[in-house]
Amino acid sequence: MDTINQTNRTLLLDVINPDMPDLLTLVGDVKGIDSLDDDKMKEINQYLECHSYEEMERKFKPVVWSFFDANSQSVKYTLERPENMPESMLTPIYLNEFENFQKTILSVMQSRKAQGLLNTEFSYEKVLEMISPKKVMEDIKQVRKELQYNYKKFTELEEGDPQKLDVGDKLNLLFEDASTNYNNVMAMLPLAIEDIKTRLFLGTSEQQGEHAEIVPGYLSMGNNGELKVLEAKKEESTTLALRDDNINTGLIEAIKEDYQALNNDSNEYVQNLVVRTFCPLVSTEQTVVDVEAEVANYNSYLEFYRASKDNFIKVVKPLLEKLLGIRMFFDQYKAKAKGMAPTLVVANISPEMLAKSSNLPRLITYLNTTNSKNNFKDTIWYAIYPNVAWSQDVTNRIQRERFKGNVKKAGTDVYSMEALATLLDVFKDYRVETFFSFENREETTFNALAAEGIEKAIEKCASLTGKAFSEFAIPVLPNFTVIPRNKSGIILDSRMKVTDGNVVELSKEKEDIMRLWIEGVYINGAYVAAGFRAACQCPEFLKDHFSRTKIKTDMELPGVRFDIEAGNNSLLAYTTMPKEITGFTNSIKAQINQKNFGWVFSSENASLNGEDITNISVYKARNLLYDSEHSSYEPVYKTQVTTYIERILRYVTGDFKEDNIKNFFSNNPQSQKSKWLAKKECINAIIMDGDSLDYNIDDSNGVCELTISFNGSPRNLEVQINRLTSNIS
Amino acid sequence: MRRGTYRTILSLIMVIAFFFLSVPCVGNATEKTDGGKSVIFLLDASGSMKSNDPDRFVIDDIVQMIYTLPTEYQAGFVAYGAEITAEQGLAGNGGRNNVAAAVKGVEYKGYSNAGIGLQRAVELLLEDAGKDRHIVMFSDGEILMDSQEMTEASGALFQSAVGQAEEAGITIHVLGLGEDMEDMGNSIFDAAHRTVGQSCHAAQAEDIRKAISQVLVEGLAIKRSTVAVVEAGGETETVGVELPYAYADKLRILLTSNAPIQNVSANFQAESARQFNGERHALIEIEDPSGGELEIRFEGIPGSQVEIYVIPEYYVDVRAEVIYTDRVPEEAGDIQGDNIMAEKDAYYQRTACILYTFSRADNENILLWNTDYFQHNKISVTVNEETKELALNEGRLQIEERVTDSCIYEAWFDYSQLPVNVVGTDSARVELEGAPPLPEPQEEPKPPYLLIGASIVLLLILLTIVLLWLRRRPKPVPAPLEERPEPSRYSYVGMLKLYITRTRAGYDIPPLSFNLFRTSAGRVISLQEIIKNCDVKEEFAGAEAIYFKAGPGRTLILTNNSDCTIMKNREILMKKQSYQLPLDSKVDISFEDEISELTFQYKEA
Repeated sequence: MDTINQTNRTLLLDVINPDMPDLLTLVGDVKGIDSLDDDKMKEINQYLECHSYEEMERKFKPVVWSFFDANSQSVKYTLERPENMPESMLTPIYLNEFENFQKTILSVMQSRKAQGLLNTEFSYEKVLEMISPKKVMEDIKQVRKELQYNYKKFTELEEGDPQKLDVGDKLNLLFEDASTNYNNVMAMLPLAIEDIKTRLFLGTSEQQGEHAEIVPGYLSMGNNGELKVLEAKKEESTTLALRDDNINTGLIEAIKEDYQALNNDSNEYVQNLVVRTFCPLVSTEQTVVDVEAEVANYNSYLEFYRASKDNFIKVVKPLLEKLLGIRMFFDQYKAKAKGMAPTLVVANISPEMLAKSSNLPRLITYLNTTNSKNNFKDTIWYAIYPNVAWSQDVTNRIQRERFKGNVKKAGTDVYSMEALATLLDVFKDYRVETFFSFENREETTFNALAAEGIEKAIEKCASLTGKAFSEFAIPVLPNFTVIPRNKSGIILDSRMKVTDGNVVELSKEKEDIMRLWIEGVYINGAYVAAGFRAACQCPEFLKDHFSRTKIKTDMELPGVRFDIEAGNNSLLAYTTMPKEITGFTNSIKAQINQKNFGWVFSSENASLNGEDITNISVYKARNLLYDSEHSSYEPVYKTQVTTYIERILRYVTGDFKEDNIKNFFSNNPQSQKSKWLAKKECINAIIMDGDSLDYNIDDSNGVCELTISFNGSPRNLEVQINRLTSNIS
Repeated sequence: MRRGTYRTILSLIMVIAFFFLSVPCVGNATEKTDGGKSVIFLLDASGSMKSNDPDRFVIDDIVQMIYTLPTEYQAGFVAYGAEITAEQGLAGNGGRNNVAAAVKGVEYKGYSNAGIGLQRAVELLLEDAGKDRHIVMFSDGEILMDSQEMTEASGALFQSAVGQAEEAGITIHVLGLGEDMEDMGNSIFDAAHRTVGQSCHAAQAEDIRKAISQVLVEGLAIKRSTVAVVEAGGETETVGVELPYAYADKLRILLTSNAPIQNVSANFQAESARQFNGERHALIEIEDPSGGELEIRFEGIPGSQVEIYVIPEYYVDVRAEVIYTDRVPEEAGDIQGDNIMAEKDAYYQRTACILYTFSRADNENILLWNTDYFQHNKISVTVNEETKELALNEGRLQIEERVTDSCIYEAWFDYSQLPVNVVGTDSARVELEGAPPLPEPQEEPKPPYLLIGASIVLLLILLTIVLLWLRRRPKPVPAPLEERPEPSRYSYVGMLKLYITRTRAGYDIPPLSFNLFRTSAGRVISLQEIIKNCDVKEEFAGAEAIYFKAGPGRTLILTNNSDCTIMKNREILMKKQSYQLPLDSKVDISFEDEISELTFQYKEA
């Protein structure tokens, strides 16, 4: 791969963080220029190029802004930073690995993948409970255990002991973790909820849900040998308590001090709450519980927590789905040795914006720089255009509720087919293959595809077929389901009520059960398709997947000619996504095979050499170039092979010099064609067995006609390459 | 015409346009006739001075004072012991060496017969006719003679001399020295009190410099300015000063110190100069200095302080110039009514502006005191016993005086407020001419009714012609469209992709494409035609004059005959030039309206 060192650089046409630089801004004014200078390209790469999900997260800092609305007494969330809001009133919630909701969704994905269960079999409720206050408390319990252990060690060690300093470092880290909980009220809510619950139900099992006071005692035998639990004497309990209080008292003071230092407007209730949460073993401190007030607090906290979580999830979901898509793009590349790892250039701009006439010259100038040079380091090979509107009227719904609205409804962040067509027309000139998939909704999932087939999708893509750019449009079906819509309910907790006799219990009424609806989390298929195809370009990746077969992999060639549909290729190289459904029916499969439409994933039961394939594989890999002779669409690899050969030809022949072209195709063993033919047995051969690569120079017109015939595929393809040297002679 | 109307018109014209009558007139300056100022230095040379002035500092200081006096002063000297021990009558500037020699020859001895000393001094001054006469008396004690009687006789003589001096307007300044003179109320100091002179006391002879300064500045009103105070370091000190006294007649540079000053030298440009060195002083007298820069070198005893003073002298002459301003009496008509022609008011109202300038006495062309240094310095002017202070403005004083009849106008100048010593003319006299009579009233000419009427008619005719011309003027023919370029013999290939990046209306127009290869070979097509062909209704100013035709080797020829700005590869394509565009070329066009913009690409079809 001396000449073209990568064939999988991908451009993502979507917004991750509107506050960060985007492609248009970075390209800048392009009036009177054909291409960007190297410094500009370096700058663009510095801001937009990502080699891993983590790099993307670092560069774009995906964030949701939250602020409190005093009018509605609620928390508001928005993806765009509200411009009229003072900085101090805004709280950014970064969607990183520590963010609870994202953590939960990732857990769902991981456990489903690990268990290899289908969507219907998987118990989503268990994992989704992670969002509930109980799980938050469980996490904290772990932290506080470590806190107490380390604090005890810290107090026991002598001053000046180097080990004490080490323990001090650990304590600092633990306090830092703990402080993330108590430096904002929102994070305190689950603590407060669980805290009230713990105090009110002390001494009762949660199942009973009743509150009764307890008195510490000890077991003894009566004079007649009967067992008795006697009330413990005060002195004994004090002695017992004092032992652990030495540690706890210090820790309480430390936490109090830390809380006060971090919060200028600290209040005693929250301070006590923090202390109770992180030091619950205070046996000598008696707190009087005002049951009525605590129950009222509990119910209002729970309601507020539910409402804010609900708002948050609705706003964050579209962004989270994009992030999961990017994560899955990179996730597809799993090779033992890193070779041609996929690279993602995040445009960070809405494709609708990019497709405006006023902005297209900028995109053209950028692509002219990346794709029209004999330097292939920055060449863009693929593009991802996610969230294409499924319904035609959706375009009218793209109205963001920026300031006044409550939450952004899922599914509104969709892009039009028209913008896609405009961009494809540009991408065609630079031979960028574009993976696009429809918006995330039930109609675009495996379930729907299995039930309804691909007719609807073909219909929706009709406007893109029969066009010059059709060859570069790859519709991806279906989208992946992380959490199905009908299983996305989360029970947070139940309301409390005070019954007669001042007894507290959790309400069992249906309307008192606090529930959140996530309404399904999906991943656009385009991310996975692009990620998988990008991964297949790497010879290391192919080698890993085909090592069990006798087929060789050439380490110098990219996987441009790799045809995933051929033979058992799709069973040897598959995605990292777990299976979702039991499979397509034969009639649906017949329909797909008959039309040979789109990039279709399959969730089929399959096994190869006795090994079950639990992952989703690629069933079809076609673009929208329709071959009417064979009534089918063309495989995607043909386009990329043509592009690859054209680029290599241009490079090797010094921009199509006649003599060099003749050398290129000659039978000399050193010619490029001979080199390729020598490797035709490899899985990633450029010219495979049965393929042919011929040329014909038309002297009168100064044109070189190149004919690439792909055997084993239904249709031959002809490409015409200009011979620019004719003008010189 | 009525007389009243005439009067009003005349009055108006005269009031609006003041009738300036400027008559320059050189005044006849009057020379000062008296003999200037005189000073007799009276020294008590009794034996007691030996103890009070063992180093003869007083002698040195009197010599210094003699030379310091401006030229107009005459100086004399009388020393007394029991009798008159030394005497030198009044002498002018040229005879000061004799006076100084007499001073230096004094020996301290015998009793102190101040009576006879003062008597002699008064006699000498009475011989002089000068107006401003002073006695500067140095004494270290009361009158003391051999016997009580003689002492009393001397005292009586002293009082009689004081009485004479008082009568003759002679001012006696007393510088007391030593312990005996600490009582400022003794009979010697009484002489100063009675004649309104200065009384100073110095405990030691070394301290007498301060007392001398007081007498010189306050008693004798000598103008001097300090130019430097230097701490002597034992080596040659150099002091450079820029003096502001342009065209001064004489400058005296005085160096004084409480310790001996040696090796005094000075660099300057002047007609002539003299130098007088004393024990603790040096004086350089510069005649007619021509440059303002002065450099003085000297050596002083380390630790001593040397003060350098300049005593400038000007010999001036005064010139007067009169400018008259005449105007018609404003209120004459209103007050007098029809009696405007009454005899009383048949004259202009005349104001004389008298400008006094000061020139060097020896050269009237050299005007003095017109530099910044003298700007706004005051000179008291007395006219008709009325004194007012006027400020110098560019070397001139200006007085405005209402004149009715011819008269002599004499002004007396007091230069005492100037920072320089002035000798010479101190008054000026001019003859002021009375106001001229008003001219005879003339018959007011009749308004040219005929001319006015003819002008109006002419104007109307002209206006009509212009309007007719404007209406009938042939409408401007639109500039002929630029000629289309010659058709090409080549065939079109490829296509144009058009991106309208900015429109006047602000609409976003989707990308357009125009297939060139379908255009018949040889056809020249304008950009406007291409845009129209793409169903775009927006107007693009100048697009009609941008032409395309097929070029050789699959190129496209662009000819710009418009005023649009067309850019390609950072280069602006020139107007009326043709450019060959190869495939994949990108061109940016800013249209003539400077709003609309378009980018096109010439691509393979």
